[in-house]
Amino acid sequence: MLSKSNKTAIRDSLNSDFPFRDIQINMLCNLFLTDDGVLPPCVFIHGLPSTGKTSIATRLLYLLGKSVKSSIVNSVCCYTNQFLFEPILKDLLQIKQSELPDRCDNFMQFLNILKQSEIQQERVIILLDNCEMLGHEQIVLFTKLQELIKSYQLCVILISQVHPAKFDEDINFIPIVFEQYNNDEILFILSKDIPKNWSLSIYQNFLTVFMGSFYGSCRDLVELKHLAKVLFIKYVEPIEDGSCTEINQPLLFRKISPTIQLLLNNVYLGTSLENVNSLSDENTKFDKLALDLPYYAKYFLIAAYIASFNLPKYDKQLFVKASNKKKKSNRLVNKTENSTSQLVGPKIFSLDRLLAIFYAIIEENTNMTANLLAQVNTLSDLGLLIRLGDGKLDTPKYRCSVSFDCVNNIARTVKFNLNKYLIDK
Amino acid sequence: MGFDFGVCIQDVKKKLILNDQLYGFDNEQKQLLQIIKKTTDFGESDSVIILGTRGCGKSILMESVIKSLSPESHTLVLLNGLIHTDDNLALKSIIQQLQMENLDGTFAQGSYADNISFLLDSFRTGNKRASKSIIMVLDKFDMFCSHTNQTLLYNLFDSVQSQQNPLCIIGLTSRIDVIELLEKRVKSRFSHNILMLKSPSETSQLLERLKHSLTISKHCKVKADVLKNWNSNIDLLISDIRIENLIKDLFKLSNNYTKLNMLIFMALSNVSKDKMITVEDLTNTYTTLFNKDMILVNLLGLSILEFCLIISICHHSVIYNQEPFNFEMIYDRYSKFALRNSTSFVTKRQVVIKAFERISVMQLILPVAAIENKHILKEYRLYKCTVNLDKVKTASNKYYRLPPVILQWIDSNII
Repeated sequence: MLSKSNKTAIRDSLNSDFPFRDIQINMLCNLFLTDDGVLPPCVFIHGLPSTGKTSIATRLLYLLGKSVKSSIVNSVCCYTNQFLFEPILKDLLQIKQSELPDRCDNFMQFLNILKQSEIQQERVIILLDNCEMLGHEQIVLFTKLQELIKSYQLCVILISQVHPAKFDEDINFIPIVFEQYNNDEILFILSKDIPKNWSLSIYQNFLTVFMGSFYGSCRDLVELKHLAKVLFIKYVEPIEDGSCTEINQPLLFRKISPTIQLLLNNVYLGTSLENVNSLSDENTKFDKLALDLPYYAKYFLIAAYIASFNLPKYDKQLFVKASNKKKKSNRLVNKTENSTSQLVGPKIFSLDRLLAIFYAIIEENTNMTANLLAQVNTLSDLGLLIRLGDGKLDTPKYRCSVSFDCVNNIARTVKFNLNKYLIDK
Repeated sequence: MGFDFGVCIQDVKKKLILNDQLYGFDNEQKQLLQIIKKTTDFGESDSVIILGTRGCGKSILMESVIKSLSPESHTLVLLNGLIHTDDNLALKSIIQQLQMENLDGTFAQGSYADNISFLLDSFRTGNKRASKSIIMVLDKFDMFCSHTNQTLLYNLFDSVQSQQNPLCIIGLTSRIDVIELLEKRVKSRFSHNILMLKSPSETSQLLERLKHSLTISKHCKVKADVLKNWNSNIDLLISDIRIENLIKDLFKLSNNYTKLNMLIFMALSNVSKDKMITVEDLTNTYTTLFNKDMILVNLLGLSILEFCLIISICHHSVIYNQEPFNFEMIYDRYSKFALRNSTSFVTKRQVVIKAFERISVMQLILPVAAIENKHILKEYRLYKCTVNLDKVKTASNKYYRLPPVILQWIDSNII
């Protein structure tokens, strides 16, 4: 059992490490730092991403140390029952994998092993992170674990980003809500990890600029911390090489704003300092998107895209050479309309239609050979076309799975004007 | 004051967790006892189903009756539909709980057919007088009905019908149509004994229960003056009008005791041990536990971009009458708004995709039918919305420094 001074120490340490979480920390401490040792059956911690749910709960368990037996499991890893139960048993019984009696892949065995090990005498906390990944029945069982084991010293903590209203009435828990940090709170937290060698005033000036531009599209603390780190190095570059003083705020802002714009277009995309420069390079991007395919495969992909996004009824207008005049005017009318097919996504087409369009758009004369048809299969193996149905009895059906930008780039490499052939674009 | 109420709080909390005291249901208790006694005393097999909503006290009723029997008179087998998810597991558990694997070690590991014929043979060899009676409790009885062909249920009820080893089957369920779930051959073998348990229908019952839970019994090891002080304080607390209103509110929310128990537990956790529990403790806990709108909290925590997406989604749902949507449609709607108003809202497509994914991780939007979505690019995957426009409107009014353009956009509702 913990002494009183110990408890206040835990509380203070949590409060100093995690600012603005006093309500939540207070609730958790009231529930888990008790003299009597009676634990609630189930606590549900809910909050948006990176509001400190997992950090605070794991830190609390760490600080509680030896006074409780605890097991922390991230439910994302538990795609079978075995991977859920065995880690918990290993932690609680403090044994190695090899010492587990049998493979444990259902709840009955899990319960039996727990009962046999006389876990009732000890304080046990099981923490299930990302619990929305578990099945509904598993969650119900874990919330009832205390009742099933007949111990008042066992608690299951569920952590989830999904709000508890999604779960059933059958699940009883004490909810603890982690609210999103507001603007000032984020500013305070960010200003805590100020880089070495720089004064607070510079960093705070930087943060006001930073928050002004990023707060609108991102409130995720982890992402903001990361972005601030990347951006700050760019921000102080002019000061370091002496081209600008730190008091000259407007100039600093002017110098940093292209980078801000760049990063703003890559929020959440895992930008690091090395690829900040490469991001701005339009050419590399173009090379990446224009796939290095064989000549015919490129035409097949273009044909597939046209087949996916045009209705079959327009094929005649587009590809039959006789009715030239009428086609043009029709297309212009369509152009102004709302482009619905772009919104609904690619449609299914048959192999015959793909081949027909292929021969219509390719300028040279090519014979239909096995080599040519193999290109279609290559494309579907590469995941650029999606093959639907088994395709053995009937002619196979396909759907194009490449974005417009990509196909357009490919079309540019073979000097083909894709836009001319899209009714809706 | 100077009283140390630590022990009292611990006692009440333990009582709440163990939850083994039965309140009311005297008639039902007698009836159930009668049925079980018939099996244990006279060797007559029988079956009964206890029906009642969640948390109304089915398990406690069953436990309290079984506790009143002498332990030598019967063997207890407990099964739970949530744990024993198929017949094979249930059967293995029965054999384990009857400690029959000692008879012949190979059987518990054997196949399902071996196990069931072994079990039935054992039942058959028993007779009315000499054999010890078995009480079998099937919690979540409705889930046993979904097992293939209801083989286990059929065999169990069959051995109840034929005069074999005395066996009493008690099913616990909250489904009122449980009889309809049974197959014809199973249904005809069931005795049609059904005990209905009623949930409390008046607030006074809930209030009574609250008093009961908080009052400390004389058996508790505390000093007499502490006990007296605590209990008299509880009496004062219960008579308070605010508590009555609180219980009335709670009753509107749910009519079983689990929420009440949770409320008391949480309130007691917040009380330090040298203080008495007060009305404020209970009312404050009530607000934190039940009065918080979690969806609103979620919405208020979104970034402006994510919030705009939610608005687009809601507009789409309103215009197209809750039809599912994909990312492209929402992006189209959003970028129209952004282009019309201010350049500061124009965001790159890749960032908007990420924001859309975050909303779906929070399950504010849910994917429609997984099979259809399997072969589709993620931009075209169909989703359904789980929040409605009214909620978004309330959130927008509370949102800290939401640009006024967005506020106007919500109400404008033009395509």
